[in-house]
Amino acid sequence: MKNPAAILFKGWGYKRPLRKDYVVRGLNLEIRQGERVLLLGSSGIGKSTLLCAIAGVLGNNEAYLSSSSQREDEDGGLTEGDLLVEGLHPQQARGRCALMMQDPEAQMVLQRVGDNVAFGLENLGIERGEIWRRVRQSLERVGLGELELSRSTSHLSGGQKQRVALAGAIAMQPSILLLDEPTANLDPKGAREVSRACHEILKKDPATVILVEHRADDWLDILGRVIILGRDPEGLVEVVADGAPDEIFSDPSIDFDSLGVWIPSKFALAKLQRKRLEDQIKAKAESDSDPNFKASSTPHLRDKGSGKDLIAPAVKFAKKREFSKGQIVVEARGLSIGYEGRSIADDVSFAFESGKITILAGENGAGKSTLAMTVSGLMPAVRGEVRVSPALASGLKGSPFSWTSRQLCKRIAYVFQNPEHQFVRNTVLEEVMVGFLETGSRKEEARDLAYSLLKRFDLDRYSSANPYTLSGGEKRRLTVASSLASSPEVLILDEPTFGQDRSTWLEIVMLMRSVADSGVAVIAVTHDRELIEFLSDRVLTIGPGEKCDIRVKGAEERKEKAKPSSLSPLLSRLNPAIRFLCAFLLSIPMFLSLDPLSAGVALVLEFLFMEGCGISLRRALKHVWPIFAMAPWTFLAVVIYGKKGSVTYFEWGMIHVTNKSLYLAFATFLRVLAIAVPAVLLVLGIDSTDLADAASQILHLPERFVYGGLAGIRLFTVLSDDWLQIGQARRSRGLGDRKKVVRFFTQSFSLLVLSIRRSTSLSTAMEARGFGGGEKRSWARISRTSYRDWVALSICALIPASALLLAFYCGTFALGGK
Amino acid sequence: MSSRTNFKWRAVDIAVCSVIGVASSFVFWMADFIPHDGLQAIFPGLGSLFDGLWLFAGPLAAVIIRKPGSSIYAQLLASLLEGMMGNVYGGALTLLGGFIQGVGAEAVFAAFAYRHWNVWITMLAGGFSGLFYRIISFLTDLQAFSFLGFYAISYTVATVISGALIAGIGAWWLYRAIARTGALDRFASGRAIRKKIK
Repeated sequence: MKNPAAILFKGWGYKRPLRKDYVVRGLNLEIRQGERVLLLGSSGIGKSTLLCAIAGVLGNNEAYLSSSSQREDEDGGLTEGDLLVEGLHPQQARGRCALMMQDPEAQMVLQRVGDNVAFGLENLGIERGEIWRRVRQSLERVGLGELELSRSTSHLSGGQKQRVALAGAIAMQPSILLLDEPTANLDPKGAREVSRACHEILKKDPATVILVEHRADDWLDILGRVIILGRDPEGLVEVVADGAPDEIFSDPSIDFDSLGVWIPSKFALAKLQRKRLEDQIKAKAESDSDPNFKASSTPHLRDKGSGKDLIAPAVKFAKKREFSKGQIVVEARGLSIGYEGRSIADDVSFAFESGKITILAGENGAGKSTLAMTVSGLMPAVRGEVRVSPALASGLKGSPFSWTSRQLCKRIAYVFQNPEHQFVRNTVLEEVMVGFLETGSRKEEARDLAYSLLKRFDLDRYSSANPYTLSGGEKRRLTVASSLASSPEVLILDEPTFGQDRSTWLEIVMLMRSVADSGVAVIAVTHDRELIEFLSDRVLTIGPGEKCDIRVKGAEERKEKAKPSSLSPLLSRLNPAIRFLCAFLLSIPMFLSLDPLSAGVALVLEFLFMEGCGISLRRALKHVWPIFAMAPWTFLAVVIYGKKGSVTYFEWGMIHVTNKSLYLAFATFLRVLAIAVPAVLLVLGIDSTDLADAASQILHLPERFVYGGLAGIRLFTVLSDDWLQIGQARRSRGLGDRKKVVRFFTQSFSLLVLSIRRSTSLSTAMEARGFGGGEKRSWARISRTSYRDWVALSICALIPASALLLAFYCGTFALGGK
Repeated sequence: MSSRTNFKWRAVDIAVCSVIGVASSFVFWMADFIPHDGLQAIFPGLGSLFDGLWLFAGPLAAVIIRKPGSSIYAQLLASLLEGMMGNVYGGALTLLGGFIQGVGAEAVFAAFAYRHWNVWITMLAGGFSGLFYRIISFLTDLQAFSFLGFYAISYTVATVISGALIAGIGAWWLYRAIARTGALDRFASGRAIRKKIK
C-alpha cells in the first residue's frame, strides 16, 4: 500500500465559466493522512468543486501547473491559490485519488460490468492479469461477487451501478477516496447496499476519505472529522466548524439550519431541529389559509394602460377550488397497471383527494412511477380505467390517457424526477408562459401571468436566464411553477426531494404544502422518510410485500444471454476489425470495372460465400432487401441520364435512353448489389466494445478517441429511455398535440442537448478514472486474430479478383466505366 | 475570436465530439430512408438536395469542439454507426464515404487555421464536404454517368448547395441553439454565444 496522503488548500479559489462569483475563494484547509472526513454545507457551496479539484478533474491540466496567481483554464474557469495533493499538483497526483460521484448513470463508462471496473486500471497501465484479479476482488468487496462480468450495466439497479462505480474506484487502489453523495440518488435499499459496501472497505483500507453526504446518520461510525462549510458575511466560503462528529453535532452555537445541515438523529440537537421544521411547515400551512397571502405577492400586476386588474386571473387557479377540498378527484378500482401490455400489479385501487398530499412510497423499481404515470394519463392502464370526478373531467369523457395533451395539462400535471427532461424553452419566463399559452391566454397576458407566478416562486430574478443554468433546487421550483401555469387540479411529483440539501428540501416541502392548500390534489412519488413524516396526509405503499397497499408481482430476475455478434456463427468468430477489412476487400476492388459480368459473378460468389458461412439466401435477403428496393431506381437513373451510346431509343429534354445507358444501367444495378450486400452482411451485429478493442489493438487507432467513441455509443443506450421521458414530459405540459414533425424536431433537439450534458459529466467520470492522461494504457481484453481471419481475408480478396479476371478475359472489363 | 488556441484534445472534447457523432448517426440512418435515387431519376439533383443531412456531423462538431480532426472524427464515427445499423449504401462502405466527407469539411477549417469560426466558413465547410464526396462518388459508384455531364454537374451542385445549407447554416444554427442552453459552457465556442446574450 502506498503512503497515506495529505491534502492542502492554501488560499484556494475557483470560478466557474461565465459566473460572476467564485464558487470557493480563499479556502485554507488541511486534511491529514488517513483521516476520514465528512464535508457538509448547503447546495452550491462548492463541495463537489472541491472534490473535483482534489481529483484533478477540474478545468484544464495546464492551469494547475502555472504559477501565476490567477489561472484561466480551457473550461473558462479561473483558479487561484494553491492546492497540493500528497505534495503534488492534483493533475500530477491523478490516479492516487479516486472519485465516486452522485449520479450512478454518469459513471458507467462501458457497456459491461467487468469492463467498467477495469477501465481505470487500463488507464493506469496495469498489466492484464493483475487487472482481472483486482476487478474480481473489488467486485467482491462491494458485494457484487456474484455478478457476471459480462452483464450489461443498463440492466443494473441504481444501487448496483453505484457499487460498480465504487468497485472501479477502489480497484485503482487509491490513497485518497473521494465520495460525492454516493447514496443521494438511491432508494433506501440501494443506499443501504452502498453504505454497507463503503463500510466494509473503509474498515480495512487505510485510505484518506472525504465524504460529502447530506445525511450523515449511516456514516458516523467510520468518520473521524466533520467539516462544515458556510459563507462569511462577504459571501466567501469558509470553514464554519471543524472537529470530531460528537463535538460538532453537540455544539448548540452552530446554526445548522441556515447551513443546510441535517443533524444525525442520535444527537440531542436533532430533536430540536425536527421541532423547528415542524413549526415552520405548520406556520406555512396557516399562512396559506390566510386569504390575503396569495394576492399579496402580485401587487404590481396592474395593466398600466387600461387599469385592468391582472391579479384575478393570476390567482384564479388557486381560488376556484377552495370550496371543494377533500373531494375525490381521481380514483380507480380493480385497475391493472404495467407497460407494453404486461401487468405488474392487478386489482389496484386508490382515490386521490383535492387539497390533500398523498405519498406513493416503495422501493425503486417497484412500480411507483408506473402507477403515477398511469394516473397522470401518460401511460395506458393494462386493464380497467382511471376514473376522474365530473368536476375534473369538466365535460371530457374517458380516462386521462385518452385526452389530448392540451386537455390533459389543464387537469393533471406531472413533474419529472429529472427537471431537464421537462424544459422546452430557452428562458425561465417562456418556460412558465407555455402553460398559460397552451390554455388559451394571449401572449401579453401570459407574460404577465407567468411573471407573477415566478415572483410567487421567488424565481422572478432569473426570468431571462436559461432554465438549464439554475441550481438543482431552483430547477425543481421552476418545473413545479411551469406545471402549475396550466392550472391543473392534480399535481404529481416524481422524487421531488432527491439529492437536495436541508434548505432546498424545506423549500420544496413548503411549496408542496401551499399548492395542496390551494386545493390541488398533490401526489408525490418518494422514499424520503422525512417527507412522508412531515407532509403526507396519506401514504400508499407499493411493493411486493404482504403489507403494501398496492401489491406488485415479484420482478423476474433477468438472465443475460450473450448476444450473437453476427447472423453467422462463423463470422462472429472473426475479429471485428478483420470483418471490416473483409468488407472493404470484397467491395472496393469492384469499382475497378463497370460491367455486368464481373458484378454478376462477384454477386453469385458472395452469396455462395455467405451460404458457406451459414447465412442462407433467404436470411441474407431478409436483411439486405432495402438494397434491392433501391437498386431499380439507380438503374432507372442510369437508363435515362447515363453515358450516351450510338443508338438512341428515346429522347426527351435531358433524357436519353441509349444502348450504352441501358448496358451501364444493368451493370450498375448488379454492381450496387455486389458491393453493398456483402458490406452490410459482414459487419451486421458487431459488438461495439469488441470493435473498439480491435480498432486500438489491431488497427492501432488512437485509443483516446476509440474509447471515447465507445463511451459515446454506450450513452446512447441510455438515451432511448430519455427520449421516452422527454415525450411524456411534453405531453404532460400540453405540447403533445403539435404536428408530428414539429414534435419530432423539438424532441430531438432536447435529446441532443441532454446527451451533450450527459457526455460532459461522463467525461469527468472518465477523467476521474485516469482517462486522457499521457500514460500508456494497458488492455484488459485482448483482440485476437487467428488462422480463420486469414482464411476469410483471402476468400474476400479472391472473390473480386476472380470476378474481375474473368471479365478481363471475356473482354467485358471496363476500367472506371469507360 | 480567441487568440489563444489549444489544439490538444481534452477528455470533454472527445466525449462531446463522440456524442455528436453518435447522435448524428441516427439522422444519417434515418436519411437513408429518403428515396434518394428515385428522386434523382425524377430530376437530377432533386434527391441530393437532402445530402446535407449526411454531412452535418463534421461541421457541427468542428464549430463546437474547435480542435483539429473534429470534423473527420465526428463524421467517421457517425457513418461507422450508420453503416453498422445496416443501410442501403453498403454498411462498411459508409465509413469510407464518411471519411471523405470529414476530410472535405476539415480542409476548410484547417485552411483558416482553426482560428476563425463563423457561419460563412461553416457553409464553405459543408459545401466542400459535399463536393469532395461527390467527386469521389463519380469516380466510383457513379461511373455510369459522364464526369462533366448534365447529370453529374446538377447532382454535384445540388449536393454542394445542400451541404452549405443543411451542413453549413444548419449546423451553425444548431450549434448556437445548443450553446444557448448552456450545455457548451465548458467550450470556448459555447461561451462566445452566451457572453453575447448577457
